[in-house]
Amino acid sequence: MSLLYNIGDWFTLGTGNTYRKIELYSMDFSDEVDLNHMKIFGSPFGGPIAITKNLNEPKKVGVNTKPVIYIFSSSGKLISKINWNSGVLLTMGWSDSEELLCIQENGIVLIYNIFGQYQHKFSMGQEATDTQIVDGRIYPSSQGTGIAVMTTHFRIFIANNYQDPKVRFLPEIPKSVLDPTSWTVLIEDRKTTCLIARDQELFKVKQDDNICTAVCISFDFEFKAIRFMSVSYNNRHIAIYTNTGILWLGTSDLRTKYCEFNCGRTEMPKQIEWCCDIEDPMKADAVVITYPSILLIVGINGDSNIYTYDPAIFLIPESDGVRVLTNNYHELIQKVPKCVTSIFGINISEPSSFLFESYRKFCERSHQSDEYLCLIMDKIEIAVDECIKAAGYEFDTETQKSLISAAHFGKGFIHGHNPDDYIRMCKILRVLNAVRKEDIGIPLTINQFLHLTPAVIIDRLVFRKHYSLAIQISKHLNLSESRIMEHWAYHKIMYDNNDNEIVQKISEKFKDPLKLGISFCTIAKRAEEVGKTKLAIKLLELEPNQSLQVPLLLKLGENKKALLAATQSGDTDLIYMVLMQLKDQTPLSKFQMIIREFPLAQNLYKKYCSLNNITALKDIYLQEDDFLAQAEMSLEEALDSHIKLDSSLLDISSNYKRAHKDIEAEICDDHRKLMKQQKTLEEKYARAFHGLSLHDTVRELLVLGDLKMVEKVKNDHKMSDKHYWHLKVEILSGNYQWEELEKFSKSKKSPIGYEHFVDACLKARNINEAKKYIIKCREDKRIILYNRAGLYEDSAKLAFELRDTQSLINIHNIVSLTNENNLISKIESLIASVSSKK
Amino acid sequence: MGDFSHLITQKVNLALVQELALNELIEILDKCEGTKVLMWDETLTGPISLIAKPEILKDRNVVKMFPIKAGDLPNVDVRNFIFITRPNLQLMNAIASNIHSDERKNRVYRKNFYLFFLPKRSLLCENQLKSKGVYGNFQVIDDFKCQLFPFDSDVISMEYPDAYKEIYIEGDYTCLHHSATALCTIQKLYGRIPKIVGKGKFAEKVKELAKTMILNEDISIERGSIDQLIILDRSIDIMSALATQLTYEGLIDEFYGINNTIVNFPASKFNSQGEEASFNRMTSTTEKKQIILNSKEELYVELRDKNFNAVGPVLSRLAKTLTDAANERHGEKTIKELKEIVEKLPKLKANELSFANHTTIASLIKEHISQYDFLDELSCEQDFMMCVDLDKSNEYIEGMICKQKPLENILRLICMQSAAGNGLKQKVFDGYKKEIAHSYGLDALLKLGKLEKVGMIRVQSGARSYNILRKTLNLTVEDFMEVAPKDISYVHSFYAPMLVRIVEHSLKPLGWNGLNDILSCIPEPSFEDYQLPLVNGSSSTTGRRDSLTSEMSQSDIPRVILVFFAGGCTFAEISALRFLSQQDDNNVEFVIATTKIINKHTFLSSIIN
Repeated sequence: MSLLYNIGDWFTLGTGNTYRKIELYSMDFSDEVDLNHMKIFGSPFGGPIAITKNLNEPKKVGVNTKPVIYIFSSSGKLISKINWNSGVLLTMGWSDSEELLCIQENGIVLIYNIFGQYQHKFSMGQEATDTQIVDGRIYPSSQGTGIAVMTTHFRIFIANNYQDPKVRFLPEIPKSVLDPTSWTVLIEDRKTTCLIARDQELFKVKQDDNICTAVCISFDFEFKAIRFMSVSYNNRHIAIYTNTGILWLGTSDLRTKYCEFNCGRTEMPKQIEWCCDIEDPMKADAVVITYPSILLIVGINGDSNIYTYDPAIFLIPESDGVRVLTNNYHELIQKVPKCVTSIFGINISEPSSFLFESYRKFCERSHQSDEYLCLIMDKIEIAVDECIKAAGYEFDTETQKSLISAAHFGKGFIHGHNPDDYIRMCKILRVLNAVRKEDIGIPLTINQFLHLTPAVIIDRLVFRKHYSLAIQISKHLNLSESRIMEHWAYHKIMYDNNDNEIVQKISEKFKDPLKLGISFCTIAKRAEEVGKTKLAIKLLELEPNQSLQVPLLLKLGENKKALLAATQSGDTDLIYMVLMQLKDQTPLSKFQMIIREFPLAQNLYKKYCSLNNITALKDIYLQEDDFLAQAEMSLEEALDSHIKLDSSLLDISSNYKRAHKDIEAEICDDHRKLMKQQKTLEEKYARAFHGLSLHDTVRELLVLGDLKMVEKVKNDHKMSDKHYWHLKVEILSGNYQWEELEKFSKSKKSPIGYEHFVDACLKARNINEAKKYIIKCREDKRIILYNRAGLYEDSAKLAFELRDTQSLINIHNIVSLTNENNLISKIESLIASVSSKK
Repeated sequence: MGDFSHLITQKVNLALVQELALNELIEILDKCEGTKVLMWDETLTGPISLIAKPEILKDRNVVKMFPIKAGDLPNVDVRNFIFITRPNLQLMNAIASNIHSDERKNRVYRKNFYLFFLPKRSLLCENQLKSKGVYGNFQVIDDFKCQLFPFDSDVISMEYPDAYKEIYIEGDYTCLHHSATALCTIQKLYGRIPKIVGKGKFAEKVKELAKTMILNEDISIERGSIDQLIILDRSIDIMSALATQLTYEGLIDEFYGINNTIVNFPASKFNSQGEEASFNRMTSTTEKKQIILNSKEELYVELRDKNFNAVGPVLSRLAKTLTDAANERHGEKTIKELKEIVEKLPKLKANELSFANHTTIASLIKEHISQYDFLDELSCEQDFMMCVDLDKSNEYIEGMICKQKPLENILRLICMQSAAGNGLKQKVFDGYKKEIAHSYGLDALLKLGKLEKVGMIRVQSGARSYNILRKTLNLTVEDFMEVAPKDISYVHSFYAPMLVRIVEHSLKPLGWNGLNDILSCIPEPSFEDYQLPLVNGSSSTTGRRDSLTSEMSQSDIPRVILVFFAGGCTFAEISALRFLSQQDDNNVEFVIATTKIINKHTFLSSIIN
């Protein structure tokens, strides 16, 4: 079945691989621009085209060589002009966010937006600047848009993301008298890789590798030098062109060769670009080569076609085809998608083709419609799907319409058809057609549309100031309008002059900023960027999220407001941010006054000082009359360095006193006296007393047996009697001086009772001694003490005397774990008799 | 995805917290291509083990892991080094020294460095790196947004170190902001919590921050699976934080320290379960037996929340069933019966192992708690709980000071005396200070100073709120039961942790409002707040789930309450909450969140050291 629908521009490469040329726009450049003497740099995804005088043409002496860069839309509408006023321009390219990157001979990269407004610049490194560069490439890297430059010494520097340029150096190729003849960039395993050809040699250098590798590829034909290399958009294939006009096609890792093709020309081609197919990438990919007036297309199986064109012909590679631009028209070469061939192909008997025909006949009110339909009734769902899909690939609105209508016609015959795909396609087509219109000029294919996502497309429209279309599309696709609104707000800020009016208008439009997903902060930032400080502050006040306000307020110099917002947000990191800046910008005394009003900020500053700047912390304590903190701080310092201790104790104690900490002051004073005594003791006994506490000093003296001194120190420092008794018991029992201990216990009535004596004896495992003191204890404690001493019999007796059944039972429980059956039965009888007496 | 099945048993599935954190981690690892070495802030390795199993890291090309230490980098032939750390200036210095040493050694091919801060980047740390001149050496510096670590199916902790100290001594509220962020994360995962109540100045601050944060987040206003949030300040109830826990889990924590569900015991005490006793085992006494304690282990689930006195009976009952099961294996059997037995064997084996471990652990604990020092100290603190002789200088404490017992134990008891009496009599306080200075020197003054600053020891003033609450909230129970408890007080034998008692009271029909009068003697704000617009009468068709007023009448579906402890909570408190949810008439499920799990030792030492 053949239909004479728009298949005039179809052609085949080998069997089954049908390609087509679609005319996108007819071009009408202004008189200034004659592509014959120009070089063009097109952006993928139907983006803008930069055109300038051919940079490689030899410069005429005495003529102003500063070029003009024209930026056109894909439909040939002039968007802007840049009068180049900088260094020597080497090459250009577009980033994935449609910014124009211009590489200069001195390694500086300048960035312009599509309106020709200068954005910023960066350098590819000192070495690149010093040695100058000979060539540059702009490539899609794994991290964004990358830039690679080759210096005059043939060293390569790359930056994988121009928005955050980290310049890296790729390994060098071996030295030689020969110069490289060609180079290209490709991405392998997400890493940027360069292929460099030097006559017949081929080298591969990879980011993060230490050395370069030489690669060998097999050629059937003879050649002297590799002149040209081109990598496909998906980094899968490579084309290599030699001085003898041989085209080598293979995988980009150079391991597999698809074919070698003799182009039959020895002149250098102008461009070589891959035309890739999304549906079936390996089978039907092809290479498009241009020479002046000639376009050659070679499939990876070696089939070819040749076309004659205007002399000036330029290629712009896309992910799913190649665009061809000449002085007069702009067309797209792509593989015809399968669904389209199934409908419009020659001698086709696919269901979709019959459905389409059936619909046509239906429109003609012909009965044949039913006959066609009957043939495919069992496959009608496939047919409808294919018609819907095919509509997406069409650029001609009439064709789209008839395909969609055919699908609509067909789906009427399907019971319970799910219309989602149909509706989705209709929606997409409306958007595609709108952006393809000449005044917008973005000729996206459906695959590109899906890849970019509607949000990005809306961004691009907004950036080109097509606000109303952007809003319409957002509404049409149920997307958030926030970005468009934001951009609108930016526009207002830039071009309106009445601050109050702007604030009012913006706050009117953004009634529910959270729901819209808009932040006043970002808008305020824009105002600040264009120097409208007051406006920025006003806008910031509308921002409900305080943490977002802080950085901008700081930038605007509103330090106090920033500090307030930061403390309110509770985010201590923000408070530090303000503090650090405030500290640098204001005199210290004023700084301290300001932070006094913000206790949280002051606390954080104190903490910061304690880690970084102790003197500053002291300053604050002094200023705040915080005597306690002063005392504690000097005490801590003094304890760290024992030498300073006695000299600073006086000061510490007076600070404690001023802080109404009388006890602490007294303790410090006492300790100072103690230290003096310790010094004399050290001389007397030639051993270290320094740093000991009172307790340890007395103990040391007790051990030394200097009872006179013990008495003195004890009295001088009012060591409590209890404390002294404890110490003495500990030392006597520790030295097993049992007689001494007993004597001591009888020296007077113990201020600490006698339990501690028992404990001390038990600790030394002397039960007999312990017994002596148990009797002296209070009756109610004795049972427990006997138990602890393991004297269960005594304990039981006592309990019996006291008629304490509970204790008897407890003792019984403990004893029953042992094997002392005598004791067990004794206790049992005691329990029995106590209970009976009751 | 590793075995985190124990996190999924409740209505609120805490495995989501684990997955969220794990995804963050994976995202971080994926920012760096190729093989890599992970350098950890040592305090994080424990918490991270709660979210990721080592195999996952291996899958992501992590070759080795090391703790961050100053000096040379470990000698590994890997290009990429990823540092993961909490914002900590000391560690920044260590990292800087690592990088400097790498610069000296490898002049040409330097390593690639990555740095991630948990839970978020810190300006001060970045400034520190800048001042050390290494800030530019990092490929990436970013956040590792991970605030919460799931400990079990009902417990999540931020594992935020020193929260209490930061707030009360330094006046640094970083922790409150992090807590609020954590509460937001929870609401992002489980939906908005309609009702928030709480007590305490800082609890209120956390609530305020979380509320504004939520407004700036895109969280659906749909009601989620958590019905209520209770935020409680640790400072309201210092007594329970310092009290000796008498539950099985609490005692293990106090004696051996449970860190991120992992606990180390002296290996020599454990039978080497049929393995041949290696020389290592025989010779080394320092070897540790590591045991993971979580609800994956059936027996532990049964034991963990019990009073220790109830642990013995459970173990001996189990001993009997195990011997029965073992006996069953012998004797005449039909093939079918044998098959059943064989099928049961692996489980039996696991049970036996678990039984053996816990018998050993229990006997270790028993040894500790039979020590006289332990018992004397316990009876002293219990006197304070009962408000006995609060106004006198305590003889036992005095004795401890004179005997130079560990200062921390003494300070703990003094804090408890102060907590019980709403401060100490000036004379008593001064006496303690002097005696302590005599025994321990001036150093102790600083520690006392810190406790005074925090308010944990102070001079008596105002009403004795603890004693009032002891009566109104029935904190000390007279007819207490340890083995078959009827009241949460069993976790400390007879004392009910106050914060949990507050939660318990809020479950009653009068709810939080009914509590306000009782709690009025604590001079801290109390709040009750709603995050959803109250449904007005006309839209009653939306059903009772949406109506807050009818909340109390929904008796069939258990309410889910998130209890957040700002400043830490103890295992005993967790056990008490679990006990409450097991009481049928409460009809409630708790999710417990805390800044950190604490015990009497860790809580006190984080303040004074």
